[in-house]
Amino acid sequence: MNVVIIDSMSPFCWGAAEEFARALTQEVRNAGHAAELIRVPFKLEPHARIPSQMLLARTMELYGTDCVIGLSFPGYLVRHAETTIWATRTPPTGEMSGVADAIHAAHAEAIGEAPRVFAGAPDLRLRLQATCGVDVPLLPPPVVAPERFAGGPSGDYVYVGGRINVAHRQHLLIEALRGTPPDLRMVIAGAPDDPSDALRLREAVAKHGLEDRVHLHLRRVSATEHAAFVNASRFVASIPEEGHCFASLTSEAATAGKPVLTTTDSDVGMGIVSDESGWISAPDSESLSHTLTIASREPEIDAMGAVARARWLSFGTIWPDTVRALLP
Amino acid sequence: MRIALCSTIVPFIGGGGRAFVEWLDEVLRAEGHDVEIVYLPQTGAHQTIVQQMEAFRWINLDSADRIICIRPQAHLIPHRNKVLWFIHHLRQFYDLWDTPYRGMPDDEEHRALREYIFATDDAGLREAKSVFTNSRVVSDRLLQFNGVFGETLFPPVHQPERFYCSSYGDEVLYIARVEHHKRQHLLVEAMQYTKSPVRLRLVGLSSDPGYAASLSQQIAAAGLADRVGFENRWVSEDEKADLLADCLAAAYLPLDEDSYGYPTLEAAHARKPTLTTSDSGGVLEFVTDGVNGRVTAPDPAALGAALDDLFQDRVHTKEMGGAAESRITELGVSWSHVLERLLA
Repeated sequence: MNVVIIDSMSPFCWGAAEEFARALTQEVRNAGHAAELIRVPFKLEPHARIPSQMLLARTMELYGTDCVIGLSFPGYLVRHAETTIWATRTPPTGEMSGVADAIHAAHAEAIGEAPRVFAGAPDLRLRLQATCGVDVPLLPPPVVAPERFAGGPSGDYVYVGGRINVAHRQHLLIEALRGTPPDLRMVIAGAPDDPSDALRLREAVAKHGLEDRVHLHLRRVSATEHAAFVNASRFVASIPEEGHCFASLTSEAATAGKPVLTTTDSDVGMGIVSDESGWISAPDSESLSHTLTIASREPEIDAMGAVARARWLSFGTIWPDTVRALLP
Repeated sequence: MRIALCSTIVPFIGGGGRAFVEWLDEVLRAEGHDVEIVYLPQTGAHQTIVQQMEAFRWINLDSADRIICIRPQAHLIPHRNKVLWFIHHLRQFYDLWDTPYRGMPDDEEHRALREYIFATDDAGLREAKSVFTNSRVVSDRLLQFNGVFGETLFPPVHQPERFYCSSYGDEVLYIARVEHHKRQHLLVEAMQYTKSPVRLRLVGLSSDPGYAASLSQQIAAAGLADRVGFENRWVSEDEKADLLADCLAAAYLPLDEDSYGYPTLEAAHARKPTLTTSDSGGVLEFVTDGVNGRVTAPDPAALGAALDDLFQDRVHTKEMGGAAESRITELGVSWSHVLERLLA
């Protein structure tokens, strides 16, 4: 069948979500279907322009398409007889006042129409429940090329991978590194959304005198490089603001047997991160500094990584099953 | 510079329009620009055209320094630094309105729709910093219907250095999508009028199984199976170069095409003349009869005679092939010129 995968596009930005959409398109082809990825430009700011962007998705004409898989807002609002909404990212509506109700109503309407609806993470499922009053099944996104995340001996750095921007808060982790043991290093790798995002991190490193401890790879890193960074790390940190991240780094780290540090206000835990498999810190510099120190000194870090891995594997998430679930 | 290349697609339909965008993406990146291709679905169905056109007005590409818009309705995307490389109108509302090809009634409802389309197109076109077209035909239509001047910027082929000339064989080659308006059937009929041993080879993918089947039946019924080959398949760019290298000449005779078409240009790069017809539209901006190709009436007997001429007067055929290659330079068809104009 002809399958269109719809994802939102932040123009000139590239990260895990974009890689995932491309991988899903290929996996649908591997399953014997024709697949095409359509990326719809979307900007969260200004909020007043969100309704028109929702209408853009709602009115899209997909001639010659047998099934549509929508991965993110607003693209998954598209109208088609055979739509699968796979909510892997939804916008944080907490501070959107006037527009939030329109977004929730659009979600409720689209979910009511779609033959298949899934949430990509437990936090997203809860958010849809709270805002739209719907309970949808969980379908965690498989790891892209899981064989790359073979793991390895516990290294001496915390890996921070993903798009470089304010919402991902890499600058907060740099600030928090100040108060940690000097033998803990930090590797930050990913493409900056804007030159100002790269500058912010470079200035933070210089301001705190961390040039010999923070290694910045501010560019689009290859999948192989990214996996190598994960495999050789001591642990992984992912602390994006809610609604701003595709949580693949958590499942990738778990696949590699690495524990994950996140924050109470992030939504990337994936049901994997807990006290046995990682750390959940308050989202301020001092708390993060304290948690980074604990992580750097944790004697049972390999066991924690093993718990994370076992927890992820217990979901039984593999590509062929996932593709079958998404299609009519 | 951050450049958004904006165009529209019909999902699962490939072809020259997409290839063109991807080639432009490649040359822009080679120049060091940060490029994002924005492909959005669009159909020509007039029942939903209003909502489709309005939707493009809601697209926000502020993070781009410049947007270059190609296939409609991409020209409607608002931006402070918009450049259009406009390739065609919704022709059934424009030059085909007073023809049998309108495809809808000339009534109050559709005339109102036509007015809306004109007004919306006018607004989108006038917002642009610069307007380019892919042919003089399209430039003329822009001026006539929208009062907008569009500079002709002929689209080059991808990596023209791939094409080469080995020999002038016995075969006239028609490489193009196999569709009724490309009129492969007319050329098959023309073969019945030939007196020389000239051969014809049709290669290309058809989106219309009915038309492809009718071509096969036509060839068999005319007893031409030993002289006319038909391959209903996709042709890679590399294979095209190899096929053109040894053919006698190329053929390209679409009905009223908007531009000269890649088949014409590809043949010229391989030093091969193109056979076309007087009603092929933009192809005639490239081909001049007897100079760098053959132009006949859209009549099978006239086409048959031209096929014989190409076969029997090979000296002239070779000369016309050389002139076709020179025509590329005369028209300024090159990626360096394209970049110079689009980024000015």
